Amino acid sequence: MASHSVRVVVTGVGMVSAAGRGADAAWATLRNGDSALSAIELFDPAPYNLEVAGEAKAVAREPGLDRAFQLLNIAADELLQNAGWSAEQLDASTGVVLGTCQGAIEGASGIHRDYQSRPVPAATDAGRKAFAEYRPGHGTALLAERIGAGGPCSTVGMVCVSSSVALMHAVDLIRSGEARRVVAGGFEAFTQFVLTGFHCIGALASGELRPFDVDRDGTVLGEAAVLLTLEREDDARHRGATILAEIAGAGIAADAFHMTAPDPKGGGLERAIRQAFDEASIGPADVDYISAHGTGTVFNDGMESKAFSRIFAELAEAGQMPPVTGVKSVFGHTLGAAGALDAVMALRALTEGVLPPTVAHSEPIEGLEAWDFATDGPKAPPAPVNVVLSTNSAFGGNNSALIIRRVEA
Amino acid sequence: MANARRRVVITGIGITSPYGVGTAPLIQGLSEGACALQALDGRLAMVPPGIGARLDLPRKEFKQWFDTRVLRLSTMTRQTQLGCIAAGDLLKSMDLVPDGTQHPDKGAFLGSFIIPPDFRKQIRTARILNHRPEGEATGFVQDDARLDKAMKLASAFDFLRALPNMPSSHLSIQTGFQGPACTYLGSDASGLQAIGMAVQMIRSGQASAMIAGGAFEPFQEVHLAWQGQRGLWNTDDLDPQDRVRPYSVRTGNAPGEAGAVFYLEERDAALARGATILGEVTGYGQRVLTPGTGEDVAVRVDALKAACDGTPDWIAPTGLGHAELDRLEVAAYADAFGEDLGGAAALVATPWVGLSGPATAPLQLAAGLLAARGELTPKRGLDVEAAPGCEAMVDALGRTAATGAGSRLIASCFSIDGVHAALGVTVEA
Repeated sequence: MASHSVRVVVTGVGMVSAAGRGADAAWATLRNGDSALSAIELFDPAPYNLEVAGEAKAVAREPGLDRAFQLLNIAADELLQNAGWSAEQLDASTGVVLGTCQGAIEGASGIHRDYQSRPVPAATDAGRKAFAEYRPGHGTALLAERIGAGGPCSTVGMVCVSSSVALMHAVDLIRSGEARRVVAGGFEAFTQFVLTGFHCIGALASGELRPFDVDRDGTVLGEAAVLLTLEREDDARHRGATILAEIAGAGIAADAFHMTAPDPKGGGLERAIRQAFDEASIGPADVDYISAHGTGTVFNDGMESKAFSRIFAELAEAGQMPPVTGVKSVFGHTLGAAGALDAVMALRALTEGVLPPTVAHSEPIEGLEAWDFATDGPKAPPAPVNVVLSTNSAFGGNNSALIIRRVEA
Repeated sequence: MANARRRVVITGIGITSPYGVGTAPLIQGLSEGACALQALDGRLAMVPPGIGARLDLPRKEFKQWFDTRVLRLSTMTRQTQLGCIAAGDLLKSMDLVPDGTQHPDKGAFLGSFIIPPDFRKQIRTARILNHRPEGEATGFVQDDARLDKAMKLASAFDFLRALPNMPSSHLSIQTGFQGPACTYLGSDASGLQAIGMAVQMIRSGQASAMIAGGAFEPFQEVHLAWQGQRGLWNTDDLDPQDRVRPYSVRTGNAPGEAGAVFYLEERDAALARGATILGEVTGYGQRVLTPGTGEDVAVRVDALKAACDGTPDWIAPTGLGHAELDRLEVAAYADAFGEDLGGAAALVATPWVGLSGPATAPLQLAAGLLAARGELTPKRGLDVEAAPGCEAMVDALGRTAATGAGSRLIASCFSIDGVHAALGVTVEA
């Protein structure tokens, strides 16, 4: 991130997930320790030996629009209702940065299927529309057009760290003065293409997604669109906006290790976290809880716990390790939306003063027995939650860390 | 960029173009105006425009530029391969060949697209997954009972290749750069975006050096059909070498493949290690056009002025070949720098190597920088009548300009998607 003299705050949220429309629904589900996972209905899951996923059942299929963009539109609805930005503010000083793993892959696959029967698509309105959705940055363009943003606009394709990197870039744009305000986040639809991919690489859970559990054996996929409005703190205060929290620091680092396996020592994640600490001018002792990536896969959770162990070693030894929670057992792994979803739930934990539980965790990985995974339901933390460390990691060895900090009124 | 605290310079260029690997073939090709566009064969010949510029490089030779025992070709799309070859060329030219050392302070940003080649397996899978109803000439119905069989055709490699972060992730592994890594998607401007954001990473102190640029391979039937539907291709019955003449009455372009990356680092660090500084990045601007606002020219001007605070000597414009978008680009340059575009000389590579998506602008930035340094004397003029509103750019394509230290270059990519980016560079001695 650039200049520290500019504080960047979150003033609005819009989302849709397996828990339904809106951040309130998602937070209520998470806070209560409920699962939003449900029987797969979008297609026949039998060949995958699966039963559940984090489908957004509140969103019915809409012909003519890729599901990924449907989700994005719904998140934008909520965001526009509560952002409080005037039309005059939405100009060349407003940017949009979104992350996605596969964008409109379902629509693109459909185009390829159709192409088999019509090798050169006719220049029809329907054809043009379908091809427009094929463009990977179409979601970002759709959103920019809808809100009238004419500033910097980009699409980050970084798989599971996409939306956390999008948030980081948004903060950079504001701090550097290239944008005054930015809508940032991510979107991802639950698709057969991605499910088949996870099936092929053996990353799916046979049952529940069990973050940091000794019996974890894979992840469960979900879908979501999550958007946040970011702006300069002085701007937010000037217009009397409700400030939800500050994005105080961010870090991004690559393992440079292997295309699929993470650095087993968690070296990349550790560097990303330490970079985020530096940005926020904090240390491990300032973290009140950790919102971990926690995909429930053997490799990810093992790698994450090693990185956390090194960073928080002194605190753990003193019995002061901050609680570690993971939300993917509630919503499923939403890939390109995961970082933003984690960030929004962390925001709610800050504002509500409640530590969200880790659902479906029963016995920790060996060596982590002393860690608090908040498995005994939602609870008020021993001290006010002021600082959350939110981490994400991705295939290809990409790691991100965000520091989300309470801002006093 | 505001709050610029560190000066960022370019100290290396890596190129994979239809002319070959490295800057030397690019310099030779553009100096001669050698056209690499040729008729395509097979199924690609059936899809407009039927021509393209490809790099003829056997896979067994890839190991000259990266370790194919570490970076498995089976997990790489063609565009990832093009990016890694370009990065390998860059590092070899700078005598920085990877030796296993890890660099936590260096990163890799790349502009790319969402992997068209991987859909080829999807098509084969879809042929099994969906079958044509009996008695029907067209159309398919989904048959879930065939899913099992289709899934046996899919493999983990298909999925991994299709992940959008693979281009930059491969670059990280290839180079040992453990700092920021990111792949930008979304438009042809993504390559310049990657460079602009990489500069930001260095300026803000998040990295000491970055490899950044773009890589792309468009030769996939559906992708070509899609771009054709958007009016990007020239389908005139002309020889391939005469087909593409942006800013002229001869509209339309042709597909090409390329990878172009730059080594960016803090100026003081480059000087300290005795590096050859090719140029300093002086500005970067990026704007998106909201349709219907009537700001088509204004947003382009904003991007140009953010990139270049003054008058450029050299211009490396988009070179799209789209009548309306070419006209808007020339209008923006005229608005920003004067009716004669400030007397600058222009250079485009697209007539000779085609459009290579997010790699187009980085490739033309490289060519422009080499021209501004006096290392490349590009073929002047297009020998075709200018399109209405584009006369100033065609004039600029016939001009020469100052070269050497202090010469200023601006490269732009005003994409058909409405994402507009521009980058300014000043040549160092």
